[in-house]
Amino acid sequence: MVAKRKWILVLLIWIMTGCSSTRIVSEVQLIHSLGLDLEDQKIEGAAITHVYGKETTQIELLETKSSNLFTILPDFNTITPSQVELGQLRSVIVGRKYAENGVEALVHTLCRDPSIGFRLQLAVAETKALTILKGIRHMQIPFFISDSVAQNIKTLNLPKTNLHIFLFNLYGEGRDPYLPYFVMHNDRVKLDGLALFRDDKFVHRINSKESFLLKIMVEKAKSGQIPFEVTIKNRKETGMLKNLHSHAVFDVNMNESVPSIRVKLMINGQISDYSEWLQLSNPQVLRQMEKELSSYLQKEVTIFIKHLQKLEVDPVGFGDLVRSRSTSWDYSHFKKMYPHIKIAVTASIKLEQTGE
Amino acid sequence: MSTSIRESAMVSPFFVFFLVHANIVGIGILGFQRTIVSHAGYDAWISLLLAGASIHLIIWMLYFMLNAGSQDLFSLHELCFGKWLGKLMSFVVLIYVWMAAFLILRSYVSIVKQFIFPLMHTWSTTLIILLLILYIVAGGFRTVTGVCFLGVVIPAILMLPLFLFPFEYAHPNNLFPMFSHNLTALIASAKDAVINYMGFELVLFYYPFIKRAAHSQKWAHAGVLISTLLYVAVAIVTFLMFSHGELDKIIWPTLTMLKIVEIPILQRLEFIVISLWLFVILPNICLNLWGVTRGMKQLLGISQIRSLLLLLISLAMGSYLLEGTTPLLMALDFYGKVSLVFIYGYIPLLFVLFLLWGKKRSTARHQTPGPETENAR
Repeated sequence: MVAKRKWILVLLIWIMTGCSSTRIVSEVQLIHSLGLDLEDQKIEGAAITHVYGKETTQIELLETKSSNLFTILPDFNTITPSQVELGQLRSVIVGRKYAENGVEALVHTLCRDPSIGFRLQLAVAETKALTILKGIRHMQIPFFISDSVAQNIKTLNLPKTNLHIFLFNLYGEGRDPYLPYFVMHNDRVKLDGLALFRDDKFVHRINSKESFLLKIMVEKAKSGQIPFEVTIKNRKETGMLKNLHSHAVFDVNMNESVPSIRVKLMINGQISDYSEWLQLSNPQVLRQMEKELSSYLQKEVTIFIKHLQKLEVDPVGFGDLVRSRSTSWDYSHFKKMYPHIKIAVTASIKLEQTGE
Repeated sequence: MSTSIRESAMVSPFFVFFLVHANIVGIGILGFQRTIVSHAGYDAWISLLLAGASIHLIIWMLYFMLNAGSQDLFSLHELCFGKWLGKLMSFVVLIYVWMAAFLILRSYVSIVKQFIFPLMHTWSTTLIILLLILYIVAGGFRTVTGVCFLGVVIPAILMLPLFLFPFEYAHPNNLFPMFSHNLTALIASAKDAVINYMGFELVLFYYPFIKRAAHSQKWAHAGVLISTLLYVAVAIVTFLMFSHGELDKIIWPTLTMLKIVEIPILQRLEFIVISLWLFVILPNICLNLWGVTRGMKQLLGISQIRSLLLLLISLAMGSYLLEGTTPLLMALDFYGKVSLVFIYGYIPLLFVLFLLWGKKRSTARHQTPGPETENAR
């Protein structure tokens, strides 16, 4: 009798778990990419989703328009037969105009939604997110944005980025966020540099080369390449320096009223293609090449940082460095000081495996 | 009324480690980081150490009273307050312990609702868990101890991803400048942290069920120590991963840290974590409820299975009535205040009273022969 009663209990538990809300993959509309644009004070939303047919699966683009960010998602439900789900959302791309107006409300919503992962990719589109998503529909690659961002972080000049890193930089004092920047190029979607933000507003776009310079400062990079131009043996040599692994060290001097920072960049790199006359197998030439490259990079990074200071954006997180070494920290005071702090750069490049 | 308990219902002193540790670590570890940084900022890990140290002191007080012959909460109350007032105070403590069980259950269900089943009713999830609790608590103290053991061992496998993966995003600079907060701020944060240490006080209930109970004190201290270190470690990993501003926007930092983990076959680890977390909160609820049933038997003579059923019904009713997040947060806040008073006000008060006259009475009583025997579950 007792045993029987126990079995009834077990049965009950099973039945009850079955009652919960089910969301079956083929019966919901999974959104893979979301695009947002600002147009005449209204928000235009677009979404890339899959439509599962018997034989083939197709990519579809949903479009809607609303005056309010929070009604965009419910609006998608009105134009699809099945329920819209965000559990598989891999990327959110915003138009340039939307980004210029600030993305705080958007990212705050994303970070509060438990169904959204923190590895979601955010991106900025030139000029509208809708055109990028249309390009993606044309190519029929649903995860284009997230995949190409991941690929570029791994092999090229894009610093590591995702929703968490954006939030870290946005809400952390003494830092400004950055996002990958997408453009349309001959009917194809192209990742082209980085969008820099001041607080949550887009201010400036940097190219792929500058993106490399940022990458080696914000992380221990294992990829990336930069074109160079040096004068060696009185001859001009151009080529591509490939980063194998890099490391940046920051020294902060707090003794004066305005702090000064020394950035030391150490790069192990490789030059795979170079002119015949340049005999890099000769150790002496190699040393000279390393020296020339170091001073070239030093110059480039210095110019880049000056540019950032002029723009008053701080994607490297110099402010955070100063904060971590100051007993009294006032962010608004630092913001005023930022364009005037002295930042000196030294670079030392070691070349490995020069292709011979 | 000193009582003796069948040896077959008792557990080894070693298990006190699991009883203490499993009951300290509960729902709080999923989201304690945000509350503790409000005063001491990213120095709050020091506050966690301070809070842990104070708990060691309280544990010492408890064991001092229990070892000196008071056996459990009920006889302790009787020694300090006399028969009737003692019973009344015991009853108040029982309500407090019930409230802890209820809030843990309700918070867990709200997390399940928030992350996994947003459309599910609170009562349906609650009912499933209550059935499991019925099964465990009806099994008696040894079964509850077993669940405490599982509640420590099973979640331990979660620690690896929790401590490993966030290092990809670690910013050591976040912790600096270290020691930039004064003692007042550190203590204010420690005050906020203490609610996460609640659960150790149940030793007042299960002490008579420990073999060679006086020897279990070192295991109780070990349990508190390991819990403290776990909290500090989780806090530091969180501080490394999130900037202060970002942490302010996140409700469950520990779960969010796991949201970033990427495993090939499993896109989102937090679903597994929330499900497994049932093993972390089960010991909390079960031991609390067991304590209450034991108390009702001592005070009112109700059989433990009957009072258990009564308690489960009260939990179900409570969950049904306390719908929504805002009342839950208010209730948690209230509980936090009460537990502060209980730990730092009431227990030291008992300690003083016990030193004043309880100890004398207890030795006097021990000389009178013939302790009553009772069957304990």
